[in-house]
Amino acid sequence: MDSSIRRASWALLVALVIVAVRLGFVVVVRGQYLAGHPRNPRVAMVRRQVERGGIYLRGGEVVVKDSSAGGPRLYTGPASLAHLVGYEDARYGTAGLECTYNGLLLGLDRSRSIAGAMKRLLGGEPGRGNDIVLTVDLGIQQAAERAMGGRQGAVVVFDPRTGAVLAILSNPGFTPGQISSEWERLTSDSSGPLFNRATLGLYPPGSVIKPIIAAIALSARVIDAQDVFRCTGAIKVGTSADDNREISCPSRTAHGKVSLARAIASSCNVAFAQIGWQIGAKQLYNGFRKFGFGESLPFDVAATAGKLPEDGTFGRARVAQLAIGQGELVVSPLHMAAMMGALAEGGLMRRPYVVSEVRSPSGETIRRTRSSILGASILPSVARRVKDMMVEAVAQGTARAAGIPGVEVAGKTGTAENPHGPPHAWFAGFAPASKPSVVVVVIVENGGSGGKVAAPIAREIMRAALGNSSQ
Amino acid sequence: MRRRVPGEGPSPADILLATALLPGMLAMLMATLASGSPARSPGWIVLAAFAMVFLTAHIVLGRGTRTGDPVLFSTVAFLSGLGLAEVLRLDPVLASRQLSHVGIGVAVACATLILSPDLGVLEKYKYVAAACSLVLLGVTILFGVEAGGARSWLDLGPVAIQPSEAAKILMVTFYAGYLKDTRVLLRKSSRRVLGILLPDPSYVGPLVLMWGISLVLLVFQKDLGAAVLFFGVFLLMLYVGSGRLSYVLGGAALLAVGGAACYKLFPHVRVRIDVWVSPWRFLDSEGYQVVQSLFAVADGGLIGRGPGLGMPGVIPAAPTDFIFAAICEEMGLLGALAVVAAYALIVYRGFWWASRLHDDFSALIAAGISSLIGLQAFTIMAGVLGLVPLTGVTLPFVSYGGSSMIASFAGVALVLRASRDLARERMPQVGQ
Repeated sequence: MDSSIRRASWALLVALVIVAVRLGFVVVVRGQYLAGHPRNPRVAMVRRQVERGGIYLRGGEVVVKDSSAGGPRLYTGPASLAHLVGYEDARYGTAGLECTYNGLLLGLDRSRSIAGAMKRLLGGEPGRGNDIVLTVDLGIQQAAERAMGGRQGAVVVFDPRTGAVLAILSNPGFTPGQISSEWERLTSDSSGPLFNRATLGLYPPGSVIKPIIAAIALSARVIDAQDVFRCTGAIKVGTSADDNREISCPSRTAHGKVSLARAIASSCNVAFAQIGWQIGAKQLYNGFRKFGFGESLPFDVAATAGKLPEDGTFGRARVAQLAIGQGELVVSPLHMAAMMGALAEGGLMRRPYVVSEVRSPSGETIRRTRSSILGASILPSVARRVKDMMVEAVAQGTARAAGIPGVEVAGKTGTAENPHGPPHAWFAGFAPASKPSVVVVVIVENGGSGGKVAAPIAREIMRAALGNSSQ
Repeated sequence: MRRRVPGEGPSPADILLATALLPGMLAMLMATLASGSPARSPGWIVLAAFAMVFLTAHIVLGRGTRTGDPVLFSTVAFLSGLGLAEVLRLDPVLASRQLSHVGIGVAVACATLILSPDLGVLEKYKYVAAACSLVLLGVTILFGVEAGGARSWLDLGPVAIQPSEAAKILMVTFYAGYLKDTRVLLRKSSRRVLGILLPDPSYVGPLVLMWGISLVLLVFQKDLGAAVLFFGVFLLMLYVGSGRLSYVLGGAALLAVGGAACYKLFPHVRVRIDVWVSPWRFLDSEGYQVVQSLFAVADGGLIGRGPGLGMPGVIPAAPTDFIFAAICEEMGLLGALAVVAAYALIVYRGFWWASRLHDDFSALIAAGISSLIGLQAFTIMAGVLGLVPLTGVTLPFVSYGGSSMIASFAGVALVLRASRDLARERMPQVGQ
């Protein structure tokens, strides 16, 4: 029986080792997440005793902190940061950064460490959570708030060199301190004031997608920068004789013979429908994937990347529509900003982030966010050529209203058809074009023309960013 | 080896036991100090009485000379100390009852070690053991009361007992006796059906029948955990006896078929499996227990909150099924790993003796009891950690519960008894 005894005992010992490994996994790998989980009843208990950490802007300005140990929170930051920062309420739980960083703000990381345990044994409760420092710049945030002036929509401003978010807002908003008294109104309001449009809103991009389509086409080498397209004001996209669907340029204006650069500057739909066909369904799909469509978009609060049509069919008409940013293609403002960042930064798409560091109560940095790259979307040479076309769009195209004297701005406007009323006004771009330090994405819901509504807002924000930020 | 005289200093067995008792006693002390009113806490009495129980047993058993394997004995003492400390911290009233369970368990073990002349006596009664086991399970089906979803309790007025705990030990005894007689035949005789080696039905038949009957009983009781244990121990012992992996694989196939049937037939089994696959989806219903348990485990961190300083009270069924999660919270990863290591040691020592015992019956008992304890500990620890579907079995020597505690001590006493026989054979002078 000797060998069978040995094998049976091995089987049982291996089973117990698996338990030990699982134990280590739960404690070490999942520990922080589980210990700070909002549904963990221990969190509420700790909350009553500790002073929850504060959230600060890049310049050190306080956004929110505890009025006294155990709460409630005292929100003193710009009103437009409400969605990002979120709220913490005894009844309605947490949202935004207050939710994602719940465990760190409560200092649960330390209470789980040996040093924390020693402190407890010696009678000294930690008493204070960690502070969080954001990348948001107060001046730029306020400029964005002013420029938007309460219009429904969203703004994302970020630094393409690092991915650091400099300003982010979503309208309409709410007051974090009054979440419990206003809950009924906030949740029944059809405009969705609690919804973070900047990170979670999915909009048809319309023409702002055209630089991306141009980049996909140039990467696939299906067109040349010198290629010329013929625009007669409209083009039939239907696949059979009696299918009369067509794509047209605004007011059916014929652009005549246009180059790729001209097609972007004048936002020629007919030319882009043809470019879409040249790219073809498969390469178009792959190109979108390279820009992160259909993937997850990692961020410090809940965020979503753009989505391709759900039924997954890419017929001739659908391809033409996708190429002009319609046809059930949707994208979030944050994802749009990340894609613009890729065009600005030679094809490298950076991961957007808004928390630069976490500081312990004694002031030492316990976690610092490092800039990271989500992926290489396109070649640097392609990015450079598309950038030049976007510069032309601002200099003498539809995005002229975004121009700033003395600064070379690259940009693209969009006027996106949608089933909810007048078109959404978009602007997406960056400056200065030669060495981009700021990406701005603006969307005004049902705002009408991107060139008339969104581009001027973006100009004001860019002006503030280029003047203010310590570049 | 000479006989030790009083005053000569502590023997290795003394030191081993003292070391094993210390962590539990320390934890009881901390839990008592951390309670609301340490001065009036029953913790002091529990602490003193716990130490007394094991020290008395140690002296009654000739300071280790008549205990059998001192490592095994000390490991069991370690586990019951930690368990008692955590029960004390959760509910002092339960702790005093648990103390009496430990006391009775140790007394049963001492009686077994002192009174039983030879394990071979048990072998003669293997069919009686099987019959007793079936009667216990049958009575539970007829007169059992339901608690925690399983109808596995007998209400005897002042106390309620769980007959399946005793049935497990009796069943291991039967398997050991039966396999001793038939193992050579099981190993040799075989017929080939569809290219698979099958044993002669006349030998393996009664075993499968036995297994089927116990499984039927347990399905009627809805005691999934016990059913899995009966089956798992049966397979392990069959493998040890026959050395044939094909039996285990065939058994595993049977288990898969049975499991699939149970999943289709019984809603309570289906719920367990669904919750195991995605506990977070059932956060507010059936998954609540496992998620709360994971919260507790994570909260303990590396060295735990300290006995009496965590919030294990929010874990459902903390003193019984989920005591391991409570231990994780208050004694941390290190404390929990010590518990896992203790079971590994019990398994290792049990099989170590099994491979050295000359008598097949004793060897099979040692292997069977260690399999039972090891498998049961695995089932509940892995269940609490969300690694396998949760089944309501106790953590041997640790969970609150009289039937389980006493049965576990009785079981380990058989291994200790078997190990002492070998010690006598090899070293006749020990204990003279």
